[in-house]
Amino acid sequence: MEFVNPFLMLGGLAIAAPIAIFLLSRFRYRTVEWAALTFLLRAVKKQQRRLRLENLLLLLIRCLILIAFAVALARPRAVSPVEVSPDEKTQNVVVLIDTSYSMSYQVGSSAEETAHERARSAAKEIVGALKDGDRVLIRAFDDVARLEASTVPRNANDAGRKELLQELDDDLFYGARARGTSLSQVLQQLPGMLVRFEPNGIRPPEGRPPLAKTVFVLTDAQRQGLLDEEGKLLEPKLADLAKKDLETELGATLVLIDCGADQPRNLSVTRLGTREAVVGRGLPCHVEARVKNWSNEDIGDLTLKYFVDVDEEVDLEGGEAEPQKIVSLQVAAGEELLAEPLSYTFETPGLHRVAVHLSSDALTVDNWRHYVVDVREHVRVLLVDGEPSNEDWEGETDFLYEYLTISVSDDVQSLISAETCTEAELGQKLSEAVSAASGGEAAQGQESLDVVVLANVPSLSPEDSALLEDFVKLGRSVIFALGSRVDAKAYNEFLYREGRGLLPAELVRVVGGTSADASLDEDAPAWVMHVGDREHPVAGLFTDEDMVTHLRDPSIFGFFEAKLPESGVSTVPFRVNQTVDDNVGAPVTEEQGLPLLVERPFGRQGRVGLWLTSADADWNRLVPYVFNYIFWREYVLYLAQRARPEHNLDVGGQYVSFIRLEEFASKVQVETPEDEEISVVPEKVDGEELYRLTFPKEQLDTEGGDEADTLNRDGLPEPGFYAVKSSNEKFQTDYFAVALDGREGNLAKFSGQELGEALGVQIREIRPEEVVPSLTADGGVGGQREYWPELLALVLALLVSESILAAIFGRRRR
Amino acid sequence: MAGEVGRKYLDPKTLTKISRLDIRARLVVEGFVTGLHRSPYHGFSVEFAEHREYVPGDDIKHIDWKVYARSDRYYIKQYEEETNLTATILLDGSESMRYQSDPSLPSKLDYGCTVAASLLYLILRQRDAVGLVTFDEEIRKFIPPASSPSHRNLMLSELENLVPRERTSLGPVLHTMADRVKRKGLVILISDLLDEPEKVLSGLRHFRHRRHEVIVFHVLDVAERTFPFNAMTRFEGLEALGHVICDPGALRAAYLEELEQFMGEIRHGCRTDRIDYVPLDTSQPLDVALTSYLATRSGMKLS
Repeated sequence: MEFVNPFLMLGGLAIAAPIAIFLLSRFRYRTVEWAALTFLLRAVKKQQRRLRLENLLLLLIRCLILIAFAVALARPRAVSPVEVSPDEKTQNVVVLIDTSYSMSYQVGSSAEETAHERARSAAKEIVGALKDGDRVLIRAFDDVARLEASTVPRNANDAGRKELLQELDDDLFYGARARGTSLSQVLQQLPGMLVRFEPNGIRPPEGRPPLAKTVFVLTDAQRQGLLDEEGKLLEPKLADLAKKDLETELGATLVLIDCGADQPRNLSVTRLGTREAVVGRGLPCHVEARVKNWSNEDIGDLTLKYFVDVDEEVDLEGGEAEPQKIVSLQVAAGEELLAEPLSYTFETPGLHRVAVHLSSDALTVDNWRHYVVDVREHVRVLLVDGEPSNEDWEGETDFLYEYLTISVSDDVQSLISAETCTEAELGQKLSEAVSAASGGEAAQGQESLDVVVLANVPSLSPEDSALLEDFVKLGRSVIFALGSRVDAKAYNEFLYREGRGLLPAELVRVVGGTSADASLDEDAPAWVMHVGDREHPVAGLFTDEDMVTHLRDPSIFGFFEAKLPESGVSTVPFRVNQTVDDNVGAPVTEEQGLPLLVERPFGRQGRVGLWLTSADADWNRLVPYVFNYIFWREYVLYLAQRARPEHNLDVGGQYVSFIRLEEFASKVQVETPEDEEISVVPEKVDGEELYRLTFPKEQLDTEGGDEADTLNRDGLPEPGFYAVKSSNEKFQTDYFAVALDGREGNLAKFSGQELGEALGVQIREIRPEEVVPSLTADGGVGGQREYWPELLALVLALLVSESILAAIFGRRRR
Repeated sequence: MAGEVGRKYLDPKTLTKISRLDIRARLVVEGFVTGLHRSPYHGFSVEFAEHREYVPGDDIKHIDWKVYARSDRYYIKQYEEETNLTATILLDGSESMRYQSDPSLPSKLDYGCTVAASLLYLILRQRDAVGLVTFDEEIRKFIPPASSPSHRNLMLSELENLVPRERTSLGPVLHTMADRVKRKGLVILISDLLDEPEKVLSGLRHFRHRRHEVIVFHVLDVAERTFPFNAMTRFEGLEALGHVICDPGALRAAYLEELEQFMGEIRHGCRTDRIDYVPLDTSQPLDVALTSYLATRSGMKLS
């Protein structure tokens, strides 16, 4: 037994009323004088017992009436489905609508006929085919939790159906999104939805069968993210969930409705960016686009257009804009291809917008990709020489300076502008840099330092340590390169500070010795580098086969052993491993070896690198090698990229930037790709003269109905260029680009049978046009017997018997 | 017509509005007598008073055949009554007689007083001697029978000043009175008889044993006869009998049954001993009592 409206059982408390009346009547009476009391006393003696019984009987019946009525209102019903004729079966239906961007695939002849519209109309047909008494829960899904129209199953009576049909037309709830799909995520959320159909919204206890439920999954059945090529689940725990939770404990039957095209053919632009980590003004840069052919056939005659700084999105979409370059492409089946890049020289520093468009296919949204390039005048690096020397190439930073300032060709300047100083000058330089970076007047119109490299500096004064921290907190970066002069104790005390300071790791001891010693001793152990974190942009450069050799060539003889803090903030892009002659070429896994480069983010925006060996040739033989040249340039440029604001974000992400006091305006407008203007209010950062600008605002817990809230819940909603503008003249218009999840373009499918085998449950697969027959033919789901009619009959019978008894007792009393 | 008018004036509701008991009693009696215009009870047994023309309905045995022979008309002989009857009225003045369910109706005692006064009037009007006894647990006042008008005033003033008090204890009172009323005559008891039936009956039997004729006017309030209460009620017993809280609607049947049983016992006992038993309630016209008296009175003569 279970209840549809269990809280209405509280109505049963009304039995307090007759009981109260019964009890009260015993204390409320009038008093009269009476002469013939003897007879009365005798009558009372004789009748009292019978009267009390009669009264109690009437009271009992009245209480029973109230209780039965309250229980009837709570609508009890059988826990297990019972055999009833199909017409009487009530159905519990969950409809899941895929709203990821792959559903925008055009399946019909007109642009409006998309897989998503097909899914929507199938959902409407399902709602339309439901009967009174059926219950339904509709939920849109992609790769994030969506704003739900309703979290509780709704009754499919006339009004309910009408409301649901209206909601299905509402893009706020069920519109197509620019997001990826995560069917595995929605399957994991499914038990939470199904349990709401159960009595009281809790799982049926053991021994009680669950209500039957049908889950219609309206999707384009994308394989990616769910099944691998062999049909195995990428998340094996889903199988347990499906078998145990969904089928056994919650009685769900999955019905897959593939709304996508039968033979989808799709190409995506999966990446757009510059080859250079930092793009300098007046320096040639390479804009690269990757194109992926997700289909099983080779596709030729493709054109890829590059656009630079085209103002209006409308011009791009409408084809009116003049492309900077057009490239012809041919992409083999399943291939991902790096298109011929656009070589371009930006003549002004600042933010520039680059877009590419691939000639159309049926899924247009992923044929575009947008990128914002931050063009820099210079990257300014300060090299602090801890062991200066007057002789050429003997100083600690001489080689570094050379590497960093080397010109690509004679006619263009070097992007990196480096200067050297001594330890003693550091304080002065830093305070200037901090002042400039925080917008002080001293440095107006002048680019401040981006990166400071401390090479073999013995120790830092507490003042300098504090200045350095301030500098990094402002979004700048610092690299500590070590060496024989370094005082590990001082570093740990002032810079590591048990994980709270700048230093990404604690220095433990020196391993090995100098290269000079090593050259004298043939048995001295040599260490070789390998990549520790393939995801790191600089370490990642050395994962290609032809680059790996550059790692192996140089030997390292000495370095500090470092102990990483337990907080996990630090990453290790490079490690070293001891070489044994026999297996020099042996592959080394990422977790093995000791750290060579440790990196951590610091403060709001800055990064700190710790290079555990020396920057010069003292402890290693890196200097003459290609690795050293590539590493130091790339690493400095990587660190020089301002962490924030990030100008290239993903759909679902959040734009965050900081504006200074003099740039402040009470409202800042964000112009979306759809030309909507949305106001954002900057928030004061505690303790600093800065304001934080976030778009969309942080996610809210409240379920709001307006557009802004929807944006908030989903992060950045659509791809394209966004402009951030303010009425304050000092505020420079900021741009950022939002890109799609490229993997979602993979339209390779799974079948219901395949998914069923992987999950270990029975999955029916039907065509979108078979939705209505599947609902009405055999019902598909069991019904549940409700008991309220019997209870109402009982109430009536009790009422009649109460009246009769009251009349009988009453007549005897008259 | 006259009878109807008289009956209207005899209605207790009207009569209780008259405060002076003597006037009230006279009105009852005059009204009653007027109504009894042709009553066969109007003295036939005593000395001749006058002739009156025969009208259909008169007993033909009272036709004076000598007058008929002389005048060829039917005349009926009427007689003056003799003062050979001694009546004693016993009026219960206990606290239970105070009960009055409806302010527009008299209390049992008022009713009883009116009945007693009316009887005094009627009896004295017929030149018989009448005495009055008021009692509660014991005899409160005993005015021996006499037939003078001054005697009537004495009795009336006793009735008017009667205050109900104390408990009823009929048995001893009746026995005492049976011993004290020596001369054989008519004994009229006006009471609610709220005592044990055996005691009441044994007292009455004592009178019968002394060859008295006995009439019992059993005066009950109309509410006591019908028990018309419905809501939860606390009944405070008169005569210090305690109290009871009950739902009277539910107890009505049982109460009436008890009452009926009680009255049945009394009635049965009276019938056995040839005692006239007249149940009265305070809403009944007062002539019922007078009629009963006259019936008994004529019966005494006839027997």
